[in-house]
Amino acid sequence: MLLGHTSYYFNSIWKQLDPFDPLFPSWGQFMLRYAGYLCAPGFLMMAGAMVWWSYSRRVAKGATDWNARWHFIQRGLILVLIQMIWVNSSWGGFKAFQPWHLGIIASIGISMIFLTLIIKTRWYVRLIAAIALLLIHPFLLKIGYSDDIAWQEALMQTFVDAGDFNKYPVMPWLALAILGSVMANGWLKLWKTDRMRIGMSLGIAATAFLLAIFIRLQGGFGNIAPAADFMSYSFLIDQKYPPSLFMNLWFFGMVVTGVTLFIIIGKISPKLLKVFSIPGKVPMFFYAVHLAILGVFTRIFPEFYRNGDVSTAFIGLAGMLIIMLPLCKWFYGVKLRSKNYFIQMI
Amino acid sequence: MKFFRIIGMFLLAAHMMASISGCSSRTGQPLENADNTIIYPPKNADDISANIILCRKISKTSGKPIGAGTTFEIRDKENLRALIQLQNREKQTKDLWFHVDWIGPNGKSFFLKSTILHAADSASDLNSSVSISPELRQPGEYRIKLYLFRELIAEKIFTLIPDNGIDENEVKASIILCRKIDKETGLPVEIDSSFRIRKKGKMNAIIDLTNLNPDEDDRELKFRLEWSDDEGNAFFKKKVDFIPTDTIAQLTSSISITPEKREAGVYWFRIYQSNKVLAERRFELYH
Repeated sequence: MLLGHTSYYFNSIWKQLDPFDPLFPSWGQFMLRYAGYLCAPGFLMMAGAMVWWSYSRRVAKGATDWNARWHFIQRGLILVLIQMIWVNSSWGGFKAFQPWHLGIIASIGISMIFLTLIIKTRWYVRLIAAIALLLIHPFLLKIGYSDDIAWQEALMQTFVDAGDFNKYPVMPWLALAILGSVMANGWLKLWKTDRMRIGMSLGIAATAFLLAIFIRLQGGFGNIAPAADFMSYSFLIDQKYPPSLFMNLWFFGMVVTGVTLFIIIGKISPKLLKVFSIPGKVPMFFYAVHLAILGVFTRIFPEFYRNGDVSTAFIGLAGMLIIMLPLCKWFYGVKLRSKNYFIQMI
Repeated sequence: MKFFRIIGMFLLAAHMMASISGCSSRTGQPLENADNTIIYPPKNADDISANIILCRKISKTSGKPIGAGTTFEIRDKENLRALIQLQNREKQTKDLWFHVDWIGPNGKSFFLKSTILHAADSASDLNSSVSISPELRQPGEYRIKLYLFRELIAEKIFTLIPDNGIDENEVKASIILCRKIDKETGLPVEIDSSFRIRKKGKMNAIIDLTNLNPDEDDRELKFRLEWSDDEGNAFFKKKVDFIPTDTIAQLTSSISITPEKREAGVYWFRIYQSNKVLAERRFELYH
C-alpha cells in the first residue's frame, strides 16, 4: 500500500494513468501498480478476520452479544467518518475539505457493520453469503443509472459500481471481508497446528487460483475486460474498480497465500515479522497519517509531485518507512495507555 | 491435506514465477523506425507490431495520409490524425484490444480511445484524431502512444507549433488578362491590364491553379470566377467545379468588351474559393 501511494505521489506515470483503465509503458510500472492491487483485498479480509476474532474474544470474556456487535458498528461508523473528514482531504494535502465521497476506509467501515450482523453465524453460512454476493455482483453491474442524479450515483456507487463518488463499492468488498472472517475461523480456531494452517491455506488458495484462472480463460461470466495470453498484463488486470469476480477470487488467493507466507516466516524467523507488526498494530493511524504526510509534502514541494519514475517510488517508500515506523510505535504506546474513546477506536 | 499442500506449493511457485518474469510480451529495447515511430518489438516475431503516421488528412479513396510529418501548426477547426498500420494482423486469430492515448506537453493524457479489432475483421489499420484548434492545444512536444492489451507497443513524439498564417495546402491562383487565346498553342495573346472597347471586342482571363491535391478524397473543388466594376458590382459570374487529376490546372473566362456592354473605367477580375478571394486583377477599359 505504502509503495502504491509513494508511486501515486512521486511517479510521473500517474500524470496519464487512469486507474479505471490502466495502461503500462513498462514491466516495472506494471509491477508497481499491480503490487498495490493486493492492498484492498488484504485490508478487507484482515478487517473481516479481526471482526470475527475480536467478537469471539469479547463474547468469551463475558460481553453480551449486542455489546460486542455494537462495538464494531461504532468502529465501522467511525471509519466512515474518518474517510469523510480526514482521508478524502488528506489526499490533496488538505487543500480543500471534501467530505462528500467515499473510499476504501468507508468501504471497510460499512463492511464491518454488515459483517457484524452475520458474525454469529457458522463459518459455512458466512461462506455461502460471501459466494452469493460475489456471484450476484456481476449481474447488478448491469443496472443502468445516471452519474448526474446524485441519489442514483450515491446509491449505486456505495454498494455496486465504482466511480467518482466511490471507487470501493461495498458489495464485492464485503464479500472479501466475510471470506476473511471465514478464513479466521480456520486460522485461529479450527486448524490447531501451523502445519495444518499452512496446508489448508495453500489448498484453499490453490483452489481460488484455479477457479479464477478458469473464469478468466473462459472469458464470459466473471470477466469485465478482454485478456491476451495467460499471465499477460491484461490477464492479470481485469478490473479493480469495482473488482470483477476473477479479480476477487485471484486476490482472495493472493491474500491467503500472503498470510500463509507470514505463518511460515513466523515459524522460521519470528523476528522478521516484528517490522510488519509495528504498523499492523495501528493500521488506521498508519493509513491516515502516511497519506496526510505525502499529501502535505507534495503540496509544499510540488516539484516532487509525479515527476519521478519507478525508482523514485521506492526511494519514497524508504523515506516514509523511516518516518512512519517510529510514529506508529509511538502511537501504539499512546493507544495502550490512553482511555480516550476515539484513540481506542483508531 | 498433503495433496492440497503439494498442489498449493506448486501453484504458488508457478504463480510467483509467472508474475515476476512472464507478463510482458515485448522486448525491453525500443527501436525507432525511419518514420520516427518508437516501436517496442514483440518477443514473438508473429505478434502485432505497429507504425504510427501522423497527418492532417487521410484520403478517403486511397487511404493514404496527406500532410504527414511530426511537426504541425495549431489551426482553428483542424484535426491531427493518426493512421496506425498494424503488422502481422493476418496472423492473429483472436480479438485484439487497443488503446490509443494522446499525451500533452504536461505529460497528461488528453484523449484516450479504446478499440477492439475483432478476429473476423480484416482491418489492419486503426485511426484516431484529435483537434488541434488553438483554444484546445498549446505549442509543445506531444506524444501518441499505442497499447495492445494494456501494454505499450509503439509511440510517436510530435510537435505542435503556433500557426504562421500560411496554409501549405491552400490552392494558389495566378491571373493573366489578355485580348485573346491562341487556339493552337493555348497561349495568351496581347497580355495587358488595359483594353480598348471596340465592336466585337472580347477579353480573356487565364487562371493558373497550383498546389491542387489530387489524392485528397476525390474532393470536388468549387471556384467562382467574377467580373465586376470598381464598386464591386459583378456583371458576370461563372461557377467552375472539378475534381483535380493533377497538382495544377488552368481555367479560362472571357467577357465581351463592346461599346453596347461596357463603359470606360476601372474593373476587376476575381477568383473565389469558398467565398475567399484566391486571386484578383485590376484592369481598365478605354475608348
